[in-house]
Amino acid sequence: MTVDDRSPYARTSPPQVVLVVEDEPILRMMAVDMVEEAGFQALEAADATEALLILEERLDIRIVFTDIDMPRGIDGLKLAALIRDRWPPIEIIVTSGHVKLTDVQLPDRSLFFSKPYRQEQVVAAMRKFAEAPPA
Amino acid sequence: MNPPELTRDEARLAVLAEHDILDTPPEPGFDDIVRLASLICETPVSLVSLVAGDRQWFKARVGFEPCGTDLGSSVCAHALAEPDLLVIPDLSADARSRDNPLVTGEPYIRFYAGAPLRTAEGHVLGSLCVIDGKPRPEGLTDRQADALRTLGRQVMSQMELRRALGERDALVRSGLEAVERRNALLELGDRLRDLDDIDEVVQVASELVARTLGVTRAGFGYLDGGLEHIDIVSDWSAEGVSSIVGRHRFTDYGDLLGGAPESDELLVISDARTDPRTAATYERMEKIAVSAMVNVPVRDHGRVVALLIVHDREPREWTPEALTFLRNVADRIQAGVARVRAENERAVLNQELSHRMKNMMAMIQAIAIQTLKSVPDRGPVEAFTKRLHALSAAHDVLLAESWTAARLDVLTDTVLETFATRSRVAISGPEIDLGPRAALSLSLLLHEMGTNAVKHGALSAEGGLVSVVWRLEGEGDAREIVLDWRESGGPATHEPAGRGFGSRLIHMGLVGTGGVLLRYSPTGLEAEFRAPLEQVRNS
Repeated sequence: MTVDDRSPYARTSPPQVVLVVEDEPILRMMAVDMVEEAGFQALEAADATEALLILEERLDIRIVFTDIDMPRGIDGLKLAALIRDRWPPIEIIVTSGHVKLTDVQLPDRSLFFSKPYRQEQVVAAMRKFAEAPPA
Repeated sequence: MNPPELTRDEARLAVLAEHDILDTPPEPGFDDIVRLASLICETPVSLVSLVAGDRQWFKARVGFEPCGTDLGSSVCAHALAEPDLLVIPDLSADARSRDNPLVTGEPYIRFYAGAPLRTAEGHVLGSLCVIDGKPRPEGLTDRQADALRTLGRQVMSQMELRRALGERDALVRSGLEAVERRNALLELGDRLRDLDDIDEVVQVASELVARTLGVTRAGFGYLDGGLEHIDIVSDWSAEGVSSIVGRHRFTDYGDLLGGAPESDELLVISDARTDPRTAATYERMEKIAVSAMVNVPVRDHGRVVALLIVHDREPREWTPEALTFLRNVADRIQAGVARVRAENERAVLNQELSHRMKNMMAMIQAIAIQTLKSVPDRGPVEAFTKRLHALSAAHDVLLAESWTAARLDVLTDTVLETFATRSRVAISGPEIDLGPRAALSLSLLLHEMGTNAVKHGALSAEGGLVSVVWRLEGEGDAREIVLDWRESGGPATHEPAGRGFGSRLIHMGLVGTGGVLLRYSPTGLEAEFRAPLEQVRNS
């Protein structure tokens, strides 16, 4: 992994919070590790419903990193749209095994990474979001 | 006096129609005969008169202006029943002709002699006659009468010859048309094979049908579930004929559904003005320039779902051959549409399969990262995940072509873009499609080359460049693809001491069988990879 300089952001302020939404436990575990090694605080949800509950509880979430294809209820794209609508300042990063997102619309300011994603690219995106002033 | 019964004899009229001679232009063979007849019989007028059911028409004439008259003015009509010449020395004195308008008025004809135009089966089609403005009590001399009979037979021979020629021409023409139709079907088959869009399939078929049959419009439309409407999605129309793309209700145009479209029956109308199914709605048809039409059902899973429509703005007879042709075209459209649909389904399946495979790769990546978490040396772990990503990139490129081929340039660009900006890596070469296996092994090879360049080669230094150029060498079966990797602007390179997995991946070459030449020079690494084109394409 190339998460080389760890927690650069946490030096001056408490770590920013990233919510990882992924139904596959192994992938979720990896994503949580990646987020934490990058110096963020990670929260995890196994589906969108759980994610929404957490979002309602926690007001300090800065970034949501979500899979698209999830069973039960709403998928990652609907979740992303919902977040953009209800919590406009939160940044959104989406991932999926589908290569092309031709007919789906990602919300504004959101990013997409095809699975398997390169961790360094996702981490770089998270840092960029975290460093910018909240929208 | 009324024209004699024989003028309306159906068998006689049928034979006359077979000759297909009425209202045709003058022909020298007939013109010469009337000139001879008038010379020999010493009359100012001579005519080849063909007696139809309602008129007489002159195929050849000398000394007479009109090209035909009604039967009330016809003396020839009376010649039909005569076994031999009909000679009337004074028309104004004969019961059959004294009230004839040509006798009582201009041009006041008085003398008539006509030889019957008798076919071999005995039907009389008209006469070769000579006419004079003065009565001729003595009639014709024996020699004149004989000559007129002979010339009458000569007219008949001309007509038979003409008919034989016409039949031969028709045969040749229908032969040519058959060839045209066959070629059109072949062309349609060829063109439909390459199309992957249903709209294009029907557009191509419409144009081909219109061109081959010489009709003014051909198009394709889908039926709604209740069979009330047709949605014409595309059509081809001749100049001056408008497109009718859009929704149409069948009942607006007449009874166009009787029998069809649930059966295999074609709907065939030769003249919309007189056809009982469309006569009442003819104005609607006329508005869209339809006088003749054919609707051909097109099926999907046994159900009629669409119609191939063919229109002509003039009435026309549809030959059995033309209808068979249209059926064949409809069959090919059906097959073409089915193929396109099957391919679309396959693409969806491929997409789904690829999605699962990419999730699987993501799982492998996660397991590897978790498993190797405690390994202090991050190098091998990183190398592993990066190789996995190189494979995944090849996979994406292959998926773009439904896993049949990957473009070499696209693959190279995709794999190398992670190592350096495009300005530092120059890629060029002819367009070549790689088979799936070659695509996967090449992606790993290029990944290793790129990794090395970043670590020790041109991409490790500021301003260093890599150029990847490929070309084809040799002919036929011996054709080879040669890919050159050249680095410049970096540090001097040396052959590595050991052989790790990365080095072995490189030495496997383009298709896993070697063909690798590496030169570690002071200016940078130069590598040449060679493989038979055939293997690169098909493995």
